[in-house]
Formats: sequence, C-alpha cells, structure tokens
Amino acid sequence: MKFFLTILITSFTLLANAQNHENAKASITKMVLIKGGYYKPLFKKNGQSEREFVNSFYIDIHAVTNEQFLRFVKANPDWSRSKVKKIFADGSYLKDWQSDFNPGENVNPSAPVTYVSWFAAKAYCSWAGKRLPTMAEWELVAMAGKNSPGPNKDKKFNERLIRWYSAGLPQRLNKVMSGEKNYWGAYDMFGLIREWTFDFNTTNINGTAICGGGSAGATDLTNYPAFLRYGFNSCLSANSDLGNLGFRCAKDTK
Amino acid sequence: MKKLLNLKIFSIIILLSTATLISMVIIQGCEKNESMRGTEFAKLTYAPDVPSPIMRDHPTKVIVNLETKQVVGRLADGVEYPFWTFGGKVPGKFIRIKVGDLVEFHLHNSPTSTMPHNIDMHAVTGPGGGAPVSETLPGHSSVFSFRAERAGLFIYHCATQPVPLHIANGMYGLILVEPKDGLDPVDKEFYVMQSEFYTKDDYGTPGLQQFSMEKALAENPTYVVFNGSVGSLTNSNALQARVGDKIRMFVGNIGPNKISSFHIIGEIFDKVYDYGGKDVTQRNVQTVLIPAGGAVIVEFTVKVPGTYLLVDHSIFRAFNKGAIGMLKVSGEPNKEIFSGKQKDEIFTGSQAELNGGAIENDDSNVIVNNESTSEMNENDINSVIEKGKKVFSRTCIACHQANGKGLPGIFPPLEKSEFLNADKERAIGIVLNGKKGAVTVNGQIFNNVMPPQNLSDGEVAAVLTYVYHSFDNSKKVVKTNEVTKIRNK
Repeated sequence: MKFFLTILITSFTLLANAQNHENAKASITKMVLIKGGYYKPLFKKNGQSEREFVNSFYIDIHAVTNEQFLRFVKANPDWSRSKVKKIFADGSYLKDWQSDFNPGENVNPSAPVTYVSWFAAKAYCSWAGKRLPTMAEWELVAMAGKNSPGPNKDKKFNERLIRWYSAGLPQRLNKVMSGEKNYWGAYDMFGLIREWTFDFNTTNINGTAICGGGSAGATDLTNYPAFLRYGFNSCLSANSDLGNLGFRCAKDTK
Repeated sequence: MKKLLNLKIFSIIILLSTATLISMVIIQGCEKNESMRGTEFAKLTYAPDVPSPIMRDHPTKVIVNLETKQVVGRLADGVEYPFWTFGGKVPGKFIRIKVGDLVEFHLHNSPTSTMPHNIDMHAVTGPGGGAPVSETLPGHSSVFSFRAERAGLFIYHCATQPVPLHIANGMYGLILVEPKDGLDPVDKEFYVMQSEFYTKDDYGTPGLQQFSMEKALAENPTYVVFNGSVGSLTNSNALQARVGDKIRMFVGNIGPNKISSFHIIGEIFDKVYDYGGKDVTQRNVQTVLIPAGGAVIVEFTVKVPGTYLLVDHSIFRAFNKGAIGMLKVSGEPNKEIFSGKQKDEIFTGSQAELNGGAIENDDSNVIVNNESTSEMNENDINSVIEKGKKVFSRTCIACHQANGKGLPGIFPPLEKSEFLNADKERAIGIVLNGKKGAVTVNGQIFNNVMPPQNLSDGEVAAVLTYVYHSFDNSKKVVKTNEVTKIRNK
C-alpha cells in the first residue's frame, strides 16, 4: 500500500513537473496526495451532518516562499507592491519587502511569503497551475498526527497549538520545512504561519459571524485551537495582508 | 460735536448689543446645560492610578484611544507569562467618562499582534457591547461610537474567539461612567482589578509559563492576583495614604471563573456601591462580593496608621495564590481608636479557671518559663527539635510556611536564610520582641511586621533549634538560658 502511494506521489510529482515546465519561471513545490476522508467542522452548516467527506487531493508540502513569490511578481508585475490594485490588497501588501522586485535582506528567501492577500494567493496558485485548498481540505491535512491521519486527540498537541497561537510575531520567520512533518508528509501546518484557504470566510454561517460571537452551535467546545483559527479566518477580508498569514496551494486528483 | 455724539451713540449701541449677546449666551448655557459641547481626548491611566475626576458639568464628545498588544511580562518573581493586553499591561488602562458623553472609540491592534482583538464594554448599550464592530486585525484600527447611557463602574474585555482565552490571558480593564453630578470628592482614588491565571506549572515555578487549558476548564487557578501580578500592590508597590484620608477604590473582578470576596483587613467600608452601580447601597460593610465580570466601588476613611492588607477573603487565594495587596497609611497614631498592644502575658487554662477567667498580673510584661518546656531534657537534641517543630507548626507556620519558604515579597523565608544563620542572638531577639521595618533576606527586601511571640524561653530555644536544624540551615543549637539572658537584657 505504502509502496503504491509512493509510486502515485512520484508519478504525480513528475506530472506536475511536466505541466509546470511550460512556465519555466514557476518554481515547483513538491505535492503529496491526501487521501479523502471525513472531517468534523467546528461549526456545522444548516442541514448538514456533523462530519463532512472530503475528496482526495494534492497539497504542497510547504508554504509558498518569498523566493517563489518573487518569481510570480516578476512574471506578473500587476501583483507588485506599487502596482497592485487596492481592492485586491490593503496597505500592508508585501510590506516587509524592500521594493517591488527585491525582498531585501530582512526577509529570508526560503521563509514563507506573508503580507499577501487572498486575491494574491489565489492568483499565484492559478499561475502555478494549482488552486487554494478549501478550509475542509486544509483542516483534513492539519488534523493528522505525526504517525496517523488523525484526528490528533493528544491533549499535549492541543496545548502546544495554543502556546504557538498565543506567542507573539517573531522578528524573522523561519524557512519552510524547518518544522514538523506530519503523517501525510506536509510540513509546518502549525508553528510557522497561518494560511489562506479558498473559502476562509464561510464561517459566517447561519447569518451569524463567529467573529466576536459566541460558541453556540460549535461541535467541540474544548477545541480552542480551532476556535482561534476560525476566529482569525472569519475576521479577514480577501484583501487583508498580515505578517503571519501566507498560503500553500492544492490541486485536484483528476 | 456731531461726530462725537455719533461716536457716543455708536459705542452705546455696541455696548448694548454686546451685553445682549453675552446674556443670551449665559441664558442658553443655563438652559442647555445638558447639551453636548466640545470634544476632548480621554486621559487613560495604568493601575493603580485613576484619571482625575471630570470637572465639566455637561456631556461632551470623548475620543478614546486604546491599543491591544501581546507582551511577555512578569506574573510573579521569576515567573513570566505571554500576556494579551489593552495598553501593554494587565489590567488594561482605566477609562473615565461622564454619563451622556458620546464616546468615539478608537481600538488599535498592534502590528506585532498575531490575531484579531476587539472590545466588549459593559458600559455600552448595543450588540456585543461593541465587540463585533470593533473586531480589529493586527496593524489595523477600528472606530465606533456609543452614548454613555448609564452611570456606574463597568468592566471591559476582549471578546474575540475563543473569548475565555482572550480574557484568561489578560484582556480586561475598567471604565467609569460618572453620574451627572459627579462623585463626592475624596482624597485618594485607586484602581484594583482581581483576576486569575491558569499556568501549566505550579504556583511560583520559575520561567516562562503557558496557559493550561486543563486547569482553566477545571476552574482551578494557579494564580489569583490583584493588578496583573503577584506583588503588584505589596511592599514598595503598596498603595499609600495618610491618616485622615478619605479613600475610594474602584475594584473590578474579571474572573474568568471565580467570584471575589474582597476585604481589607482592619478596615470597614463606610460606603459600598454594590455591583458598581450608581447608588450607595450599603454602609459599614466588612467584605463585598464581586461577581466575575463585575465591579464595586468602596469608600472608607483611614484613621490609624499602619499596613492594611487587601485580600480575597476566600483566604487560600490570598495566602497561596497571590491575592494580596497592601495599603500603607502613614501619620500619627490614634490611641482613642486603636491602642496598639497593651499587655503580653502568660495564659494557662488552669489559671484562667482559678481566677474566673481573668488573669491578674503585674505590668512588667515579664514572661515566666513555662513548665512544659522546662521539664524537657535540653541535652536530647532530637526531643528539643520535636518540641520545636510543634511550636513552629502552631506559631510560625502561618507566615513562614511549612516549608520555611515564606511568601515572596511578604514574609521572609527561613530556608537557607543568611539573615538567620548570621546571628543567633539577633534571631532570639526577634522571636522575643518582634521585628518591624525593612530587612534583607537572601537578597530580597521585606518590609513588614513580625509581632513579638508569646512563647516561654524553653519554647523559643526549641523552635529556633528546630528552624536551625531544618530548611538547610546552619544546625545551630539554642539553649533556654541563652534566651533568658537576652530577655533580661
């Protein structure tokens, strides 16, 4: 089984390589296959069952880096800091970069790009021949432990997440893949940055925004990391740019 | 001449019209006393300070600026905690406005924050107390306005998801809405806020602590503190007043879980505004209940100098979790109200029965040896230590603690005490006569009072021998005759 999986991943990687070869300027991030499965959203949508089935998909093993994003900006100058349209990015877009096409020395090229809006993240993914993962997909990957697809119910895991979410913004972000690799082979789902998802703002369900709201209707009242994530996501606008918010891309299996 | 007349008439007209204008303004001012006038910026203060009373007699537009920040700070000596704050400290800055004011609130979230924050003010009439409309991303500012409809003392806190974590990490403060005619003038006003912290490790464990979900869910706080940390109101941080001062305290309790039984040892609250409401609802109160997410205003006049302890009278919290503060009152003693110690003499049950309950004694204050220890064989060091342990357990333990560690900032440790080991005779003297004022023990300054201990010479010798043989001390032996010698000095 594992062997089969490896073959599949390898062949896909080759495929992805081939596809992206057309655009020589896109640097390729390795992807891993995430096998479809059930995930339990913190807030269930009207008429939906508690568990939601997520189809198989591929996801980048790490977040998009400054170096990768620079290639994108160079190929698409409309997304450079001075050219970007205000409706697509607020005043903080790429604010830690030195200039339009130079991240400068304060930024680690191998660290995840941050201060990027949802619009920019979406544009990058489609330029790379990919798409943003849905929140359900992202959560399915993130709930894996080190040795199992999860959900990781280790109390210590929860505590570690709360500790990380509680910590302040670091002076300089670490490079990607310096953190933990989970069961699927995806790195840094926690501990480095928060990540955009395609439907980040759909937590405003049943007409009630969780942003500043209560816990009524939540499926797991003690899952504070999930509350922190949902609370954070639902306060974002698609043109928000934050120092601890980046993204990685996903792709359909077909 | 004609010109002059014209000028005269002209100036009279000017004078008249000016007078009319002035009187119109005055009349308008009187009639429309309640109408909003002007704009001002609120001056906010960190605890324990309170902004000055509002002198104007009309509502105005008040602009409030407050910044949410995540900072690592001191929770106790050697213990740090990653606080989330309003204004950089716990508790958040004190806001003072007047009923009828239109508040334009600017909530700024520091660019170094890692998450959104908002503010829910209990003084606001409107959904969420302003929380949904003040939700603010890192590096952004939100503005909203509200009319201060009701006078009283109110809590404010962050209500971003998950709300309990934002509160447990330090995001709360007080907002005072003064009534139309203001509050009666007093000599001193203080801001005191009680709150709990739930840390992964036990009380006092040094290093950077983390939030414990388990303890928070079990409502079992590691720390219960005033103004954000252990010792924020003790020793050199104590609140200060003079004899005769009329004092008003604005006391809030955020919880997040516990109700406070706020008490000041040695004082009686002359006036209590229960629940921080507009009116004085009680007089002559010993202890006030403050709900989690509630507040109270208390007023009292200090008449006798000395140190008064602020406590949560759920007393283990005061003793073991940090809920202790000090109000130091200086000035002349008032023997009419409080005499100080007048006598210190031996009491035995049998004597009491013989004398019908009262013991007659001379005024020499000399304490005679108690036969229970004089019988003891002083050469048997183990039995001396055993005896000393009993004395320690009933006399010394309350302050110096069973482990001899004392209480940081309040009661000095006996453990590995350089002060104790340096001078045996000084130690005997302190047990006999007490000790007042600043003392440095193991590098820490303590400024408190130890009363003279009502012990026989044999008991003093035994307890000191026990202490010297415990807590990693120098194993000195104290003999009864050494104690007697010092007592007779």
